[in-house]
Amino acid sequence: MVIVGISSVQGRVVGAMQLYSKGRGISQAIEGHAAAFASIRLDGAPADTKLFTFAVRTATGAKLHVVEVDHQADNPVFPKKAVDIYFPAEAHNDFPVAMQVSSKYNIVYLVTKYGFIHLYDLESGTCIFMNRISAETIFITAPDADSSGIIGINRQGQVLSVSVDENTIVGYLLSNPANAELAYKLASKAGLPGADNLYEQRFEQLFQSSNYQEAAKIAANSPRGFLRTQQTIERLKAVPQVQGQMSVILQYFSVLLDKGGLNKYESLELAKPVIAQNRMHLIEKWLGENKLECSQELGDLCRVTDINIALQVYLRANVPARVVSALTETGQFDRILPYCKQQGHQPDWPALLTHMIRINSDKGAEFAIQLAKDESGSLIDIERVVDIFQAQGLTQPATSFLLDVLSPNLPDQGHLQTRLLEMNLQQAPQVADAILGNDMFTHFDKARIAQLCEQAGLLQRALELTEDPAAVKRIIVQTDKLPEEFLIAYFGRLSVEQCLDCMNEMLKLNIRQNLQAVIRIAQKYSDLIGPTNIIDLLEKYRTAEGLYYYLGGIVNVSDNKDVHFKYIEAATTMQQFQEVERICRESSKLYFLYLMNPPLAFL
Amino acid sequence: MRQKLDDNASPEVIIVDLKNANNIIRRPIKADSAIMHYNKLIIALKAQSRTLQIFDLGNKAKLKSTTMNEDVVFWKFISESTLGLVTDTSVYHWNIFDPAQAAPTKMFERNANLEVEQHS
Repeated sequence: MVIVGISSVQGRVVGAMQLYSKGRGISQAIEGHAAAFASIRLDGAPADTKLFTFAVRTATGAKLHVVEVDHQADNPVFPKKAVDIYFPAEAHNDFPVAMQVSSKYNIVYLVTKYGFIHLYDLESGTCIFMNRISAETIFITAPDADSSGIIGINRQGQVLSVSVDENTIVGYLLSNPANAELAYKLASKAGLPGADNLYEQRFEQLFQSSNYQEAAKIAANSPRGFLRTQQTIERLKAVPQVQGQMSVILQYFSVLLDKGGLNKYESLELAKPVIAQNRMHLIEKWLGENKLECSQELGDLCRVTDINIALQVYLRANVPARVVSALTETGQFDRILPYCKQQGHQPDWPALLTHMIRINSDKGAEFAIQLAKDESGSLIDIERVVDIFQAQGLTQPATSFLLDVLSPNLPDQGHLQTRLLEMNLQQAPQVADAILGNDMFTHFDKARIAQLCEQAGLLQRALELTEDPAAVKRIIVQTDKLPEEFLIAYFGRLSVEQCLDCMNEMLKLNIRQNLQAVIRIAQKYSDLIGPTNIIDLLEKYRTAEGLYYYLGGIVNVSDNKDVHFKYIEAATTMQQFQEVERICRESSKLYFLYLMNPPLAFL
Repeated sequence: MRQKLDDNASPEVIIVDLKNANNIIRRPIKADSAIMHYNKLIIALKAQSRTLQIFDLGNKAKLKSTTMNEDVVFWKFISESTLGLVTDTSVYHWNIFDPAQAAPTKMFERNANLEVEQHS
């Protein structure tokens, strides 16, 4: 840091400065009127060099000094500069009052008491320009960030601003051959027009004389990178490689990497050989340092070797389609939806899903659920999802998807419920059985599913669902496949006619197999169906056994005369004489009671 | 970029945005000196050469205030965060944002040859 003071000594204003190093805690007294700090990156230096510049007018002359402070061991030494400051003869009492350094141009702005402004090149100390801008003393100045210039206020209260005209400065400097090098460097440093021809000429000259390394440097440092074209890359690539040396094109890229980042084409050209040698750690490093311009093409190059690096590139290049595809390929399905939402990207979901389930069908199903249950409404047609799964024969993931999506049991999703059951009845009947057993869906096509259940051998489910009497009759006779308890309970749902009809069918088709079930049903619903009806049915099939067992179940609690009579008859046929004897005894008692309380009318 | 223009007639500070001449802020002040931050709407005020106050005009908040033991003969913002202060004997730095730095920190003593009339 520095402070400056001035005092009047023998009619002359003398400047005194105190330069203090915070790091070393020491002061140095220097004669000077105005001072400023700056930093500059010297050619080939790994770090910035700190400079201190000051202006002084002594009794004998005026100088601008530029010296290095806090020298870093790795940096080249900055040779001290001291150049004369011109003061017109009539301004013999004039002296420097303020200095500002523009870091964009590395230009020193110096203002004097009499309102002169001088511009110097920081690195060489060359005077670029001087002029008088104010007749009044400028008492304060400040750097102007927007114009990289200087502003100041004079004693009249005028605000003055001075800055470099970017469009003309290089040409202005070039008009003086002594300043050509300066113009050349400034154009590169600040990216100014005016020296492009010069760069081009030098590049061509060096290239023609086979000084490729220097030519590469020229192109790398060209103002606004105007020589950093695909064409340059092609030319440098075509240069034959010298044994044991880094190829010219790689030297070119290494200069560019030191300087900053590579543009799209450069990044691609650099990446090609590096990827071919499978040195992906270099790509990763450069990406980390933000040296490569990410593009879809660069991502595609990386993808061949390392999909994760490619993903990074796509993300930075903002190519949503590729990002999604890379996320898919790496199985990071859960990142896809949030990413797409954030980017407002709408991929072809069905196509994506098709791709996903080839990679991981279960996670694909989870992803499909995310899509279908999105808070903004389903992003995909559910039917399509099922089509996609089915096309690959993936019933199980399709099932878990549908079970989740259809869980609210909505009436308008009836067709999907049907589809879910249909699919499983054909592929995995036990799953369909479990779904039906859960009673979670009520809107599916019952007739259709009943039919499929029947075909799949899920007779019990078929019976529960069907309304078709023919189907009922067809199924009910297969008593060997139906649990008796279920069958008995099922008859409770039928009308008397249906019961009789069904029992008739059972006996007609296979009396041996079905008789026992018919007897149990008859016993259970005897009162409902009416013993007479049942007796008629059993007699129709001449089954004394049936009659015997059916009536045996109800005779003890029945006071129906016919029941007793038929039971005696059947027992006799079955040669169950003990029973005949017992029931005759019981029956006569009954009959006696009957006589004691005769009915008022014979029915 | 802003500059201050002091109006002596009535104690008032006028802040002019040089990049937008219509944007002029007028504030009555009792201080006798004021300087603006480089690029923020922050103003440093000085009264009786010793009392210093820093205000953030955008947030209408007082950032700092202190009273020096010596007169401040010269001052300026030396960075985005730091105000440099010069007294007759010493140089101070004051970080205007760091709450831990309540008062300016002395950096070094002035050499005797700098006992002069004007500073820049």
